[in-house]
Amino acid sequence: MQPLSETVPAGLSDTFAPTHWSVVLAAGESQAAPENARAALAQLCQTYWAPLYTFVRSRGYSVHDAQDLTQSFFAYLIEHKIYARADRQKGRFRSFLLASVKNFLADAADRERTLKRGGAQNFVPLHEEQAREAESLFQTHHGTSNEDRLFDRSWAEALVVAGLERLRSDYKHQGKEQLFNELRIFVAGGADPLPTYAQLADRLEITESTLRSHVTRLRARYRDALRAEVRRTVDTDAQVDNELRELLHVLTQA
Amino acid sequence: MGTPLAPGVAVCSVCGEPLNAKGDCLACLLRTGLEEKAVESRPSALAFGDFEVEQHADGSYRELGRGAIGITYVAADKVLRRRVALKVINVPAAARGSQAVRERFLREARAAATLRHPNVAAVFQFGASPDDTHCYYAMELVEGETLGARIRRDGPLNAKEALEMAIQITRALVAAAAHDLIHRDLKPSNIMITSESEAKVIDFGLAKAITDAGGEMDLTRGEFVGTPSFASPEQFGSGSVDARSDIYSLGATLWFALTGLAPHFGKTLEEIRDRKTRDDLPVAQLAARNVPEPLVKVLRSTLAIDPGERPASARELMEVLKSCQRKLTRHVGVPYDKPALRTEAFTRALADAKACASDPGSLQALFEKAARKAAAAPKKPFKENWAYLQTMLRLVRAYCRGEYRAVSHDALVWIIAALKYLVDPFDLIPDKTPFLGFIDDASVVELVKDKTRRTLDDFMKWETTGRWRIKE
Repeated sequence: MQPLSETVPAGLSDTFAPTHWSVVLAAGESQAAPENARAALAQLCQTYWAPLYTFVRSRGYSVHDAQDLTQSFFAYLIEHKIYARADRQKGRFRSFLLASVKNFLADAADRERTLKRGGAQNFVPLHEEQAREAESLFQTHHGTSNEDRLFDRSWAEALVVAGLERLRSDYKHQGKEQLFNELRIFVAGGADPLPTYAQLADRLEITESTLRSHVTRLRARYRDALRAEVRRTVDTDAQVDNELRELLHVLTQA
Repeated sequence: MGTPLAPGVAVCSVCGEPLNAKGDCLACLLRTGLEEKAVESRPSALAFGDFEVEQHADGSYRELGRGAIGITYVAADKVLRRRVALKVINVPAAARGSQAVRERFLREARAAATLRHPNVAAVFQFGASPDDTHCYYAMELVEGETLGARIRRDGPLNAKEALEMAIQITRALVAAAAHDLIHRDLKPSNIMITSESEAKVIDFGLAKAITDAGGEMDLTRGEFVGTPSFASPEQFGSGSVDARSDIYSLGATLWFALTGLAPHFGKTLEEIRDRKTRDDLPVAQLAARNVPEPLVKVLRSTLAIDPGERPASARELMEVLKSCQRKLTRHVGVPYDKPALRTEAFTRALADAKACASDPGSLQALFEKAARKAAAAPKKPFKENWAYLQTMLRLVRAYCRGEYRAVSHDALVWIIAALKYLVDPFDLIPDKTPFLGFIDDASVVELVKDKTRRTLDDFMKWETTGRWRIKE
């Protein structure tokens, strides 16, 4: 059973969903209410907690220090209104966060101060499972990637997880979670070869043409969900494709 | 693939890139986001014998309904150039190629096709696909809705409407008796109501054929054929059934039409069987709906556990129903044709709810109004107010679709209280999945208990007595 609190996000309406980063940027330019920016930024930071954590870990901090620093960093972003310095021309939340965390870690005095003040505010709640998964991600990849690539890889992971979760939730609300679980391999790939349509149609006791239709629909809906998630982190629609291409390049580059 | 692999990292069978800890391929997942907007390829034509399934503009097949073992489509008869309802039954792999299964289906369908009556949806043609994967039959396409859908939408029928419907179905049973046909699965969803309030029974004589061809029912239900809540007690045994079994099912359907509930229900086949053979009829439900006494007597006789105590034939049942109709027409003072629940308030609230489907702003307003109404009368939250319950069901669905995330937590709790304690969701609500989770959630149940001071026991009392008792 999904806890009620997860079904009813407190204080955040879906109307923010497509434009989170735009809201933050607008607040930086004094065109939007700071409380909206704060809420939008909190939601973004929650989703992209793991990339920040893996980056801090890759700088050599221990698990607990990295957790504390990541939490403190979010408080620092708000307290110092760092978002007001974001460059709309560059436009991407990912770039902004990476540059900001680098500055944050480089400035030892600032870090100490925010550890004492902002760290206690717990601006973005830390979930144990989230922390565990982020650490596991770090352990898997820290030996094979530099810190920037590790951050981007972790970012890509958070992005697709958010897209898949959005889709799973939609299917669940329609009472079709089992169908989603059966067909997600057609979107997410995996170690096992894809089943043939004939085999799967037989197992699900539906016709092949119905199955093909389900798969096509699932892929289209996932595509839309992923692009909507990316759109939350960039300033314009035109930047969505570039962001996806860049992340794909990071994952597959020679 | 350029990323050096850490030892033991699995790779994607599609693109060869490393998988993440959950076994998903990030590269595949990102590439999908870069695909051109997918244009769903139009599925190829689906044809069975002389019938071709109709398609929507987007290429999807035009479905009328879907059950555990088959789908009913709107199809075109290519030879006679008419539209039909085509029921296609998916034959499980284990039963394919079985001559016995095929023969049995065709025998039953052939018998059903001989029946022609204004209150029966005629079966035109039937067959099996050459590869034995599907059996199908084409029926008269009835424009309308099922009795079950009608009750869920508008609430129970009044005594007059329900009795007239029962008489029409009985006419179908009389005609079937002349062909030695038994329906075996008479229930609200197998009765179509046309726009002229004409009842037409569908799938007549085909329940067993469907079960035989579908095979899988036998795996879970032994020799059971039918729908448990509306099936006769003898259908749960291994002995033969006769026309009196359909008379029982008609009684259960009439009960549903008058109350919105099946007389006996449960979560398992065994539970329903035991209730049917052990429990008394919950006649308090009829009293709560002011069902006239002559009609209660009809229900008692049609729903007798012993087939010998029911009307012996459809013809005899017809006499019983006609006699009841005469008594009710003569009897001054019996609210025979007074709308049972469709009061002005109900009609208004229903219209509101329908309008709300296309107007999110008014839906939110209605939601708040319902919550205020509940909060203002803490001792009798919602009482037995069908209109508001119906409204709330719509609201909960909208909420669960994520359209109303801003609704207050308190208001949600009131709605769940209404659902949990004042109605039986298993009978009233066609699609339970969106909110069953809420009802089962322990923390929500505690909140509801705290806010309404009602317990599950109270609810059960309400259900069995038909009255809500205030707990002081």
